[in-house]
Amino acid sequence: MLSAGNKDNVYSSVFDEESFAAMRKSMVDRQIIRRGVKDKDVLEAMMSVPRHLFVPENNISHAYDDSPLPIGYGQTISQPYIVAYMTEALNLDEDSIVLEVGTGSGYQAAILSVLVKKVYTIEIIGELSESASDRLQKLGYDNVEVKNDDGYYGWQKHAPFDAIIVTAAAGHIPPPLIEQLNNNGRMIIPVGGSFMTQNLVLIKKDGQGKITTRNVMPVMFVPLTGKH
Amino acid sequence: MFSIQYWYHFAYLIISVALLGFGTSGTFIFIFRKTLKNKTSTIFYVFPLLVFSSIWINVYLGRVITFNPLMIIWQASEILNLIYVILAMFVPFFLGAVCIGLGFLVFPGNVHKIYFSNLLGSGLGPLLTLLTVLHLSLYEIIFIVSLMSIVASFPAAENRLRKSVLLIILIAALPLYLIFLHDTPVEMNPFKDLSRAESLKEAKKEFQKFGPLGLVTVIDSPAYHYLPDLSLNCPYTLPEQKGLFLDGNTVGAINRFSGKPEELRFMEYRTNSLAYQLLTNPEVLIIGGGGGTEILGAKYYRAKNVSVVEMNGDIMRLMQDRYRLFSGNVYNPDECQIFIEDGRGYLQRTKERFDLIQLSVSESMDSASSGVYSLNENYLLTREALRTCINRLNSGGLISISQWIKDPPRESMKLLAMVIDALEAEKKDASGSIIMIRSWQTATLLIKNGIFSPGEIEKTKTFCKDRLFDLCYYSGITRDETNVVNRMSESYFFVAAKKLLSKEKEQFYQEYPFDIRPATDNKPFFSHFFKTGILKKYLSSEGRIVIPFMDWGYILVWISFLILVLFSIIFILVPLRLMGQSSRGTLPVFVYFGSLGLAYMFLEISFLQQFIRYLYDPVFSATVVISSFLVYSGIGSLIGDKIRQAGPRHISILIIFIVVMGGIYIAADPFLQRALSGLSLWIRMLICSLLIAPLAVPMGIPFPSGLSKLRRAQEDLIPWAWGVNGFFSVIGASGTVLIAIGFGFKVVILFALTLYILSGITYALVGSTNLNS
Repeated sequence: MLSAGNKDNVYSSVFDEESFAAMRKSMVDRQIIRRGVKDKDVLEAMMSVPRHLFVPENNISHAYDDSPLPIGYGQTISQPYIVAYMTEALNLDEDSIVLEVGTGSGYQAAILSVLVKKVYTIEIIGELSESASDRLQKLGYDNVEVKNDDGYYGWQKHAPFDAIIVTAAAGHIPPPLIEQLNNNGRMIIPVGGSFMTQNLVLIKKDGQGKITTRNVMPVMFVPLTGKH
Repeated sequence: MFSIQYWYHFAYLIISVALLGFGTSGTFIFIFRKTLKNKTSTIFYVFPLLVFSSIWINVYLGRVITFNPLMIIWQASEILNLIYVILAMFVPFFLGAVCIGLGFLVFPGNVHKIYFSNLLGSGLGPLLTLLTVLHLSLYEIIFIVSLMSIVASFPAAENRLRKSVLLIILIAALPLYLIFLHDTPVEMNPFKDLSRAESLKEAKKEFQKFGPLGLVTVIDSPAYHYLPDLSLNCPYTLPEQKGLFLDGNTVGAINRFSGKPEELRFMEYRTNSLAYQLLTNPEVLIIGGGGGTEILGAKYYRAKNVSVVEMNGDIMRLMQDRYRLFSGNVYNPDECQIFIEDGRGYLQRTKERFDLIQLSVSESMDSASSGVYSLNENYLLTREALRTCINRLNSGGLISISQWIKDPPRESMKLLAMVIDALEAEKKDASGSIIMIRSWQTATLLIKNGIFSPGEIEKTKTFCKDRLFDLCYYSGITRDETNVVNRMSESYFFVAAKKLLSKEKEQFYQEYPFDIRPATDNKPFFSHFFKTGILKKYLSSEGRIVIPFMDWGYILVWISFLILVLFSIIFILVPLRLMGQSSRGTLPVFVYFGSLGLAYMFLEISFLQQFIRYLYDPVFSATVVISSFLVYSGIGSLIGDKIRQAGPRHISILIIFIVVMGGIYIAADPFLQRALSGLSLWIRMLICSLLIAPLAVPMGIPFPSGLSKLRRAQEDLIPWAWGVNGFFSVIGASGTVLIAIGFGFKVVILFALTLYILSGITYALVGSTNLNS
């Protein structure tokens, strides 16, 4: 179903790699930079990862649209801006070890892969896990390890993590994930429906292990008026 | 089926689609009347067969075509799928209605009898469905309905060949059904909670049952975890859980419990458990037992008595039977009193008093965020319901309600506003009777029948500090104490509480970006938050920065409504112009039949919604109201045939009677609600049905009387009048709730009565131009 590595699909005759690169640049300029994402490394990662190879074939023409897209099994690939915003919020560096819960098509993992030392990603849906793993391997994102498992328990073997990104919260934030977050680490969770992110919850663990969460609003909204 | 496949709104859409079919049939007959008249027998034979075929083509297409309602936000092309859904459902209704409408044309002397038969059949339909739904699956019901359409062909099967064909179809249908559809599950939208849970690792559908209150499903997966108000630093692991769903939407989790209290220590780390920190061995009422999590909580905290109200008997029986051992017999009737009824109804009728009444988070955050519940009526979360709740508390007793938090908050904010309103209406000190706390995604509100003591406030502070919860409000709270651990962009609840408790309340309602005015029995839409300001901002914004904050469920209903109106114009109104029909005398026909269509649906849908408060259940209300309206109106149609001969003034008298009865109903509503509470369901259903009779019987007379009058002067306009009536019925069916959101159901009823007066005035002009002469 997915187009990764399939150069023979019908869209290859319509769009060549140059066209996709141009769409990517437009995506970064119009959807991401204009809305305030500044981290150069994140912007470069968004420029370099071919998003069209992470969406279903029938949606390739919409791959760089300013929208989430269905990827099957009731899952979506997030809106490009949300991916960029979440990645920037994690404050990553090249030595970071990151856990992702909810691999989906593997797009977020690919972005992280460009930025950090190692990405561990867990996907609960077997078919998605398998296809994402194949895709990431074929595309050369070698520092990503995909596991088909329940992300609720994290990945104890590789813990602690400098950052955790949860793309599929299951009713609550699993306490085991908080435990596996390194001191001075950050964890981010999008909150909202399948086709929209209403909020991003950023969880910080300070040097002493004290936890705070913060709602970071990636989109503008009318503030409360009047005197408070 | 629409409710299961998609969301609740789409179930109401079907009423409008059905009426669109009826309206369009009128235009169709009007255009092809000569041909149809010449081939009456063939039409009466073939069209029911086409109904049969179109039903099953629909079932097939519904399974292969994917429609994601919420993708409309991002891809306008998804609207085409919505149009397809509407058109596909339209076809069988249109085909069936052609047969009825043709009956009016070819048997003009029997208009009243045909109308009576049509309404009687339509009225018995919901009753029979309610009775069969207890024993049959969804597809089995559709199968039986489709067979009925074949049976309808028999009277027109004039020769042996026609009869043989029908018999062959009837005989072949059963094995074909058994081979292809028996035991086939309804195809569900992949973005519903159940579909997603089924995708989890090693997920198995352990149980599924279709009942009058919907499709109950249990999913087993080691990866299923659900407890929205759990603390981030809970040191205890959750027990094994199974997912419980109704119509594909989350109800909650069924927890494994072997009887050892230590397995439930996670209960101490929930916002919803705050009430138990402030009470000792309370008498507890849990409204919405669901999978039993709150019952386990009550047991863990050693509640003295536990009463559980669960309106879905299928869920309760499931817990007492199949999951009795797994859940530690959580619904054990020896340990708790169980009531299978609606929470509002129980509160209304009970004389008991409680130390703690618990109402909990229901639907999933995913669905709530999408606004798909925007138009759901909820009579448990209204100002009046909260007042009843407060009156069921012992002195010092607490109500505990949890809701999702968004940023800016919606549900939790509306709840706070409602609670303050309800306490003030009960002449209580609202500022001292409320405590509100929150986790990163849920808020819990405690309402006390009394004033919270300093000791209780201290306990609350400690509870929150130990569990990474935030204080939102208590009497005397300072801003610095709020928004500390889980930081939102503002101290929303602190600000809101201060304003809602002051004279700035009205100003706050106006300025807040969402509609958080308390839901009332007249406007029971707790989950409706849409304000036009958000739409304006969306339309004027570059990009789609406001998209996440729109109540898309509400927008979808408007889109569906506009599509239906557009189709109604295209199918019903435009053809008249294209046919070059003289407009002489059509205006009174348009006004008369149009206002009747609109008014009838306004009253029927308003009563359907409002009678939920008498019957405590939307399904029973829909069954009683729709059946009663149609059957009584059918009887009215028969009576009308007799009283029509009494003279032309009979319509004026009838209209006056309808208006007076409507007025009496509005005035008597509060009394009726009190009087009916406590009676058994069947008695209430009977009384509700009888209450409708004085209104619905006369409502059945003006339409056929108008047709009879037309027959004498402008017979050719009969199908068109039927079409106009259908067009406005479509608008009425879809528009009732949209109007009620803004103005309340009582205004809709008053509007309907005004339309009846208009129709009464216009009646004299109907058929006054004799085109035949």
